[in-house]
Amino acid sequence: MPDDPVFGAYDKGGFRPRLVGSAEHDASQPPLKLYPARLPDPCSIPPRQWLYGTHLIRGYVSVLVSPGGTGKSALAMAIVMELVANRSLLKNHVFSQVNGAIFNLEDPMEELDRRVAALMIHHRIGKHELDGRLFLHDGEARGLKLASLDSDGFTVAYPDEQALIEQIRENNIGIVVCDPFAESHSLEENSNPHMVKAAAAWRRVARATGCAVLLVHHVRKGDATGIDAARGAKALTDSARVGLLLTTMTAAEAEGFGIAEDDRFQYVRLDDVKRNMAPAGRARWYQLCQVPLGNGAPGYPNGDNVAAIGAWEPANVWQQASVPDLNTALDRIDSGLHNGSRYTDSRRGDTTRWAGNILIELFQVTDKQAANMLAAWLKSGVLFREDYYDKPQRKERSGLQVNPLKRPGARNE
Amino acid sequence: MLARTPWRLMTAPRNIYATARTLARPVVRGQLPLTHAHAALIVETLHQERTGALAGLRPPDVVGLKRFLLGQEIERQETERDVAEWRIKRLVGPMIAGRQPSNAVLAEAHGLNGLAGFPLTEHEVTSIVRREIYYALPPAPSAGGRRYAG
Repeated sequence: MPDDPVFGAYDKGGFRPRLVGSAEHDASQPPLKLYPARLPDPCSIPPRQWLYGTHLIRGYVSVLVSPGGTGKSALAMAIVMELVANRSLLKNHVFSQVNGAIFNLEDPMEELDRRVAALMIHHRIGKHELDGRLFLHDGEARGLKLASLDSDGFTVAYPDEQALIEQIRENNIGIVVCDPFAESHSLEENSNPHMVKAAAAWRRVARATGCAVLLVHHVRKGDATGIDAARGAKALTDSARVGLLLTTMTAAEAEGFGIAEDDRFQYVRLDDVKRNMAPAGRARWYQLCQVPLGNGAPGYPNGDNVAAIGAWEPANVWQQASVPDLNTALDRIDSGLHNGSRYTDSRRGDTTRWAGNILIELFQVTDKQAANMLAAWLKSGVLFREDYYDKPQRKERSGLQVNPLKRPGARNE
Repeated sequence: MLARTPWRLMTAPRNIYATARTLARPVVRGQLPLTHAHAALIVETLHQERTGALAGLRPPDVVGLKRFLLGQEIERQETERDVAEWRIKRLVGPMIAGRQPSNAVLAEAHGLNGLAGFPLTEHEVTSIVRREIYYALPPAPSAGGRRYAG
């Protein structure tokens, strides 16, 4: 066996050979050498090429993590359609119009067609806006394997990497979505070295083509509270420059927004849970709407209803209430109860003294919203706590007072 | 002097279950899918029924017994292959540790496989020896002395 690297190395008394070399370990690479920092003029450094809000950046990989059934595929598809149509549908800034490719490796093409149609109907996107610029790939005819174990069982091969790079260049793609990431490789998901390899393959694709890559990933079992909720080894989320977490509205949040328990599952929130390149922003809310496609058949007259995602803003009580109304509420809080006691921000014990009752009565808000309003006023100094002598109770108590200088509409000269 | 087949054996009815065992080897070697082997047994049984070789037996019963025999033979041969692999590993381990030439190690391994009745193919024997040699070699210094994933 003179040609075999294993038998050859053995007979020559050498080391264990690398059977299938990866790009970064090839002998053709230049030797490792340290260079002093260039320290260029900051004005001469090219800016980051943001593509979509602070979620996607050209040449880098972003990861969208979410539990199943939350709407991550709909969100990823909507983002691509925004970039292709050059329209801000989800209230995020679109920096430039690009061609987009969606690799949905779970659903057949028919289902992708339904979802695209639902989004087009919901956001009123014309066919001419997407025609020839949106590329869809399903996993039915041929999947996508960017990294897999070679036949020897321990080296990693990258079967589709070069072909994908060529296709992206040929079709001038600027955004690539892989949904889900787990289907794009056949490596061990709980192995950090393996996930580094799989993520590095996507990173090389992004770098080589200058396109933004969005990997859609599932969460592990249990509560999804941060980027660490991503399933499998942590190397994937560590490799990504942006980590997005999509979760359903919780019961507490629904109560705060005054949304019925049954309806809360159609609202999802997107958090930037890992941003290496931008400051953390506030959560964004989206609503999943059922869009009728009108594809009824004789035995199925109503046709399909398919979920489409749209932007949603929580109802803001501050915007609903006018300045005079807010001052009326503050007047009543400041004047106290009829028996001479002052209002309080605490709901413990005697709830008749809770100032939130006034807000509930005047603005028809929920308990939670009233408590949030009081907390905001206390934080901004509009209300403050002060000890006073309570005549009915004949003891020192803490009550709320209004700072007239910080009332809504007051001018500070 | 050539041994002559006794007349009573030449005129005895053929063993209608013989094919079942012969199909086991290609199945365990991965050359024939098990479903194809089952299909071959059904085709053969139907042919035997047409030629009257079943002698009144019901074809489904015959096919069932053939499948059982095939399964038994597959199980036996798989065990035989496992034992042969284990023996080869036990044989080549000390040879590799003693830095015997690779052709000598391979020759001993193939010889042992032949003595056992060739349960493994030549390619499989070579692969076993190659794997044993690979893991016996020291890792390259560039790998930092650790196993690498790719």
